[in-house]
Formats: sequence, structure tokens, C-alpha cells
Amino acid sequence: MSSCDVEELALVAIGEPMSPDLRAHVSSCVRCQTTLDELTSVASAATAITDADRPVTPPAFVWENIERAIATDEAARNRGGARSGWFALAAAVGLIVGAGGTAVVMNQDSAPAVTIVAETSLDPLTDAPSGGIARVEQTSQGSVLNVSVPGLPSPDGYYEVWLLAADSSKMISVGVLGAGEQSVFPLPAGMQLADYPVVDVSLEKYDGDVTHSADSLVRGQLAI
Amino acid sequence: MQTGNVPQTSGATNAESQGVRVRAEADAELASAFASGHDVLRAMYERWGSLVYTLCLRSTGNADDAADLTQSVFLSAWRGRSGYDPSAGALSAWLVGITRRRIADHWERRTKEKNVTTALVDAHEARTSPGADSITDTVLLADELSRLGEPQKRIMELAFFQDLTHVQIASVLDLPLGTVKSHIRRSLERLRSRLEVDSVIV
Repeated sequence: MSSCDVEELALVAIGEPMSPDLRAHVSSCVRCQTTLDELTSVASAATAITDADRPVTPPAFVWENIERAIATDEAARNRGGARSGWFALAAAVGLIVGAGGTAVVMNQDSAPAVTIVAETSLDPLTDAPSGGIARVEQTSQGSVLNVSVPGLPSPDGYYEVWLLAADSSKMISVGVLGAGEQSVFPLPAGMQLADYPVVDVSLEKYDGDVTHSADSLVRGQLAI
Repeated sequence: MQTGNVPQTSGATNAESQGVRVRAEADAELASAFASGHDVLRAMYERWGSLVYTLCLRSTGNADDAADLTQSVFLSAWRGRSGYDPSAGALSAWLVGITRRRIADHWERRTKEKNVTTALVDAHEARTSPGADSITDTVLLADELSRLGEPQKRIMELAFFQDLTHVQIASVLDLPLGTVKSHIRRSLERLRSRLEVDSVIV
């Protein structure tokens, strides 16, 4: 044998004996040596496949959760500009339309995206350069707090968003304000918004202290 | 009668290579649609969801963790879609890369959680982490194997797991020797290219 025969090499790769002719050829053919090495390593890796490696279809809730998370993303973005497609549709599916006194936001595709439950301007305190706006919205995934405070400087630390009781006697940390124009935070399903109507954004240091720094930049009270 | 000396290929071989080509084209279409921002995540999930989930399941040994990680992989892919560059590699390789980083993050978090399960986790990690590459490879190969048509799949299963020779396989499946040899070669090459495309070191 003097020519390259990949079919014969493939048989050797799956463990069949190599004929003397083929061995003689391979010993002098770099291309066949490479091919044989590659096919042998693929075959031996494949031989190591166990039942645990076989493809398993993920449970249905995995996709549902992905869809839901993206719908929330999209709902947040839809206020900036309409967007068609199944995410917007998904955002609309299962939408809970609030009772009287709430407004339904329609995007340009006329798909209802979110329902605004309550809204407040965030007024600058002390040295904040400008205020912002906060809205509680009902989405298909539950209530979210949408906070927008444009023009905040890069913090020495980070900005944290809180919901406070009207008398500041108790508070809930809602999350860390993102660098983007607005941040959307899920609200605990069982929370009574009327108990925590004040939206507050504070400057926090990286000091490991999880309590409010008392350094608030903007604040507003939701009309509930 | 005179006929042209046209190279003959068997019908099965033709159909097989066509199938591979069609699938590769479909993957490429998906990649370019994704790169241009179309809502193709669902199609990607249909195509690679089980691969990602199986990689996570195999690496964590826990269905809940695998479900969380799979969600996080596809959300990362969607939110980071502007970072995908089709000229830098296949979409599947990009997804596998994200999956491997999420799995690595998962173990990093776990080892930081100092609690009574630490010893257990360390033991599991010792079993899985050093072999992360080979886990990826065997899962990728199992995935590709499952996508082979028949009789290729059956032929390769007999070769890999029953250790049969091509002569024995031909006899068991009642197929011509040449057909079996040709399928073994093509299937091995297909598995090899799957590893070349997706088994990226990240």
C-alpha cells in the first residue's frame, strides 16, 4: 500500500489491527500520521462517553425563566423605544392590568408593556447634581421598581436604592443602581408598598457595612 | 454503450453529506441572524439548549444548579449578543465558552461558601475540575453522536461501545462492508470537526 487511505485509518482509530502495508505507509507519511492521531483521539474520547454525557433536554421551566427575564429587560427598554418581536409579545402575555387609577403604557406596536402603579420624582438632596424619577410597575413577572437618575457622577463606592417607611423607621434595600440610564429592581411579592413609600438612593462605601450610609442623594415619595 | 467516467457515490453517502451541509448552513444562518440582533434566542435554545444543560448537569452533578446555569448562559448570550463576532468563531463555540465560564464561576462561588459541605464540594471539584476539558469533549461528542442519522449512529455505537469490528458491524446490520467503512470514516471526521469547532479553551 502506498496511497493514503483514510477509511483504513479510521478502522485503525476504532481499534482494528493495522496491516503491515498500512503500517509501512503511515511510517513514511506525515499526513496519514496526523490523520491517524486525530481520528484515534476522537475515537478514544468517544469510547469514554457514559450515559451521563448523553444529551438531556432541560426542564420546560428553564426556557420559561429565560423568556421571563428577557421580557422584563424588554419591558424596561420599551419605554425608550418600541421594539417588535416575540420578546415584546412575551412581555404582553400574562400581563396583569391594574385596577382603576393606573395607566397602561402602550408602546408604538400597541402592545401593552407595563402598568404604572405609582410614580414619584426623585428630588436632589445635599450635593446631588440632579434628580430623577422612580416608578413602581406591574409587569407579567410581578412588581418592579424602575429607577432613573441621570447624570450621577461616578461614585466613590456605589449607589444603593432603598424603599423606606414614611417615617424612615424601617427600610428595604432594593439593590445596587446600575451604571446605565435606568435600573429595574424586582420587588418582593408580599411587600406592602404602602409601608415603604419612600424611594431613596444612597452613596455607599465598600466598607462591608450593609446598613444605609445615611448619605442620601435623591429621594421621593410614591403616591400610593 | 459509452458512459462518462463519473465518480460514483452511494445514495446514502450523498444524503449524509447533504445533511451535514444543510445543518452547517443552518447554524451559520443562526449565527449571522444573532449577530445582527434578530430574536433568534429561541432557535438557539432549541439547537443547543440540551448541550448547554447537559454540560452543566455533567459538571455540577445537580439538576437545580444545571437549570440555573443554563438560564444564566442563555441570558448572558442574549444580553451580551453585541459582543459576539461571527468572524471569531462559531456561535456554538461562543455558547460553549460562556457555559464553561459559568460552570467555573459556579465552582468558585461554591468553594468560597465556607460551610459543612465544603469538604464534599472539594471532593466533587477534585473529581470534575481537572477533567473539565474532557467532560466538555465527551458531552460534545455524545451530542454530535446523537445527531448522526441512521445507520451511522448505530454503526458508531457498535464500534465505540460494543467494540465490534467493521466486518462484525456489517454482519449485524446486514450492510455492505464498503458502506460500513465509509460511514465509520465520515462519522469520525464529523465528530473530529465538531471538537475542532466547539472544544475551545477559555
